[in-house]
Amino acid sequence: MERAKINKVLYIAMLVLISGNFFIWRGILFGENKNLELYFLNVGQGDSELISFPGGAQILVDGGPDAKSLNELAKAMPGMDRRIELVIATHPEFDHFGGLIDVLENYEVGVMITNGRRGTAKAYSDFERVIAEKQIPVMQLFAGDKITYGSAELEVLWPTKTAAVGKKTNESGIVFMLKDRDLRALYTADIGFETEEILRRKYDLDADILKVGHHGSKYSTDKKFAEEVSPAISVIGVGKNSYGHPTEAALSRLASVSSQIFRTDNSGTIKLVFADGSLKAFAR
Amino acid sequence: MRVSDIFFWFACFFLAGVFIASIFSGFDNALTFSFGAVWLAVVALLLTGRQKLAVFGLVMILGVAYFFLFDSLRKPAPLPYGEKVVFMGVVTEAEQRLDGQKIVVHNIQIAAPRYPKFEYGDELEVSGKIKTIEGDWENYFKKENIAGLMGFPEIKLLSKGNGSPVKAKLLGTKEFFISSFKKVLPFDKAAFMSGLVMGETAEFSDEAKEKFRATGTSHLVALSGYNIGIIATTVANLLGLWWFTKRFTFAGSTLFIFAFVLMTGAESSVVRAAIMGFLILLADKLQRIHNFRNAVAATALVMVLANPKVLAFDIGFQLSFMALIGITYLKPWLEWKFGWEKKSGFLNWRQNLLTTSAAQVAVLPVILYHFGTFSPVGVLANVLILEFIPVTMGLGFFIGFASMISTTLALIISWPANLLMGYELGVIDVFYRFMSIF
Repeated sequence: MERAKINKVLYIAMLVLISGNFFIWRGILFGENKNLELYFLNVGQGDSELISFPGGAQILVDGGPDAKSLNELAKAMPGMDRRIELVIATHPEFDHFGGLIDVLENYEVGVMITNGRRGTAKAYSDFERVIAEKQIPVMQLFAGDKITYGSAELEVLWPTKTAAVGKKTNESGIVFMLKDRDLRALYTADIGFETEEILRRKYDLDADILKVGHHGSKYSTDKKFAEEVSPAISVIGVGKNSYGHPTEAALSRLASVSSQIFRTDNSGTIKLVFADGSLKAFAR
Repeated sequence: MRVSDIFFWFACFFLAGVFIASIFSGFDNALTFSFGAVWLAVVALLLTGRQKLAVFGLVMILGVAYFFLFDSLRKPAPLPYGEKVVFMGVVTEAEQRLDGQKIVVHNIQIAAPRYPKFEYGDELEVSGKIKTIEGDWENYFKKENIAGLMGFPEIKLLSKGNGSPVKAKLLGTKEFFISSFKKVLPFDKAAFMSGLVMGETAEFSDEAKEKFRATGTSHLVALSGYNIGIIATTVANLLGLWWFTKRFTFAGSTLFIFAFVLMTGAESSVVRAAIMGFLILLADKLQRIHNFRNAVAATALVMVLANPKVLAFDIGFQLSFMALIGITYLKPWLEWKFGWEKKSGFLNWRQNLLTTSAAQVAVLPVILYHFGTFSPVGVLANVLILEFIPVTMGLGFFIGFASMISTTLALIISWPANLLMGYELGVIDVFYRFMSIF
């Protein structure tokens, strides 16, 4: 090869090395978050949350209805991290598992956690296909199970084994309380009054953060439940829809317990950072 | 008159005829009006003393006739609009967007949720109502030969693999490239790379599409002659590197361009660019002085003969040709005016500024007509980015090829690509924010 071509090769090699250094060092110095970060992704009409632990592990809860989750996830995860340790599919409804199909195709997943229930939506078979293709281990978790990581603990409050196979899909969703030092965050999937009543009686639901049930439907977040949880911050995953989500009824019940309400349709993806005993909220 | 001149004027007037027919095609008595317009034009030419051109004016009649003939021969059986129907067909086009799919079966475009995914060659049973096409999009769909729309009907998959195996293989390659980008690059950069290398913008977020449009950089991801030119040149250079592949340079480049066009869906701008690219390669090989305006005219003629509706109804077609005309005729004039012949400057900024300005001025009337607005920062944004695009595209191809060997190798190559795209997207973002202040 002539001189000019060798120069070209050297030029490209230099480019590769310099940029390689840039990304590797950036990954080492700034890659991992030092604090617990809770993301509520804007996936339109649907739910998707990312829990990002200091130390580089992530738990993804639901993926919204479509590939918008990919876009938001890419912004929330550290650049070089293509692995999500745990994915929790709370219940097999399309606006919760739809986007997970794309996530599974584009990220490495450690374990998939479900409530054991099969979905009836057409796309569910695609969901099962991707899990099988990528040989992702699947586990069912029920009330009483716990996941711990560092100083954090994730306690599964629902469903019981009976509820998981009950008639109503929404009332079979995985509900859990995330605890880290003195922070408590409650994730409620799509549960309604029925399940809220049972949980309220059984557990201490006091929390700082509430992922509002069923996108703010009027059949969720009843008054007593809201009072029990009395979250400082409530987040609703919602987009354009014909159900009236989030409803005035649910919003007012939350407002009456002085909760600060964030909605993904108004604020985009919401990021909560828990650092030094204080909670900071960022909206796009 | 020389043969080449005769050909040129013949082509021009034929195209003018097609254009006139296109304008009147939406009205009743279209044929009459079209001939009327042609006759007026011929008379005008005679009156102004241009007899030779007036004779050519009669060629316009051929253009008009061709348009209407093509249309009447192509008219499909009318669709049963508004009633619930069940039909079977093979998917000829499938586009995956972030929030859904658009599939084409027969001449019906179907909107469906993102999953279950359908692809080229799938045989489907569809039940639902077919809607008529009205409003602004009417002309676009006419050009695409789509006569009806369906929104989220019942779809059942009957069988797969019914399309042309060659096209299926090529589409598979395209899918492979795009998924290889997604594996090593963050999502937004993977989408950008898919746009640069394949012209695939289906997975761009609405926000991203808006940013490109507002900064006048959409053409970068629209697989225009610019992109094809880069690809053709790179392939030719690669083949010319080693003595045993040198003699296949011409055949290899042609084959590659052809396969590439098929792979990316044969959009009109791509086809035009490919034909132009081929003609340039041919002229190079035959050592003939390239009569550029004839090449352009010939390309336009071929494309219009294949589908007369692209002339008036395909924005991409119009933009490509106007840009080409601008760069061919306006740029040299600008170069002379500024006294910048043979000067390039840091990162070739002078050449890029000239090319961009010439192209932007030439396409301005088309853009204003169709969109009503234009991008004032377009020229500056383009000049800052253009020089880096060929390298970025090249790296994209390398990522794709490397993925066939190892993901780690692809990852290593993705670093410089990531960095470059960070800069390019950053420039676009800055200009977009700047624009949104107003």
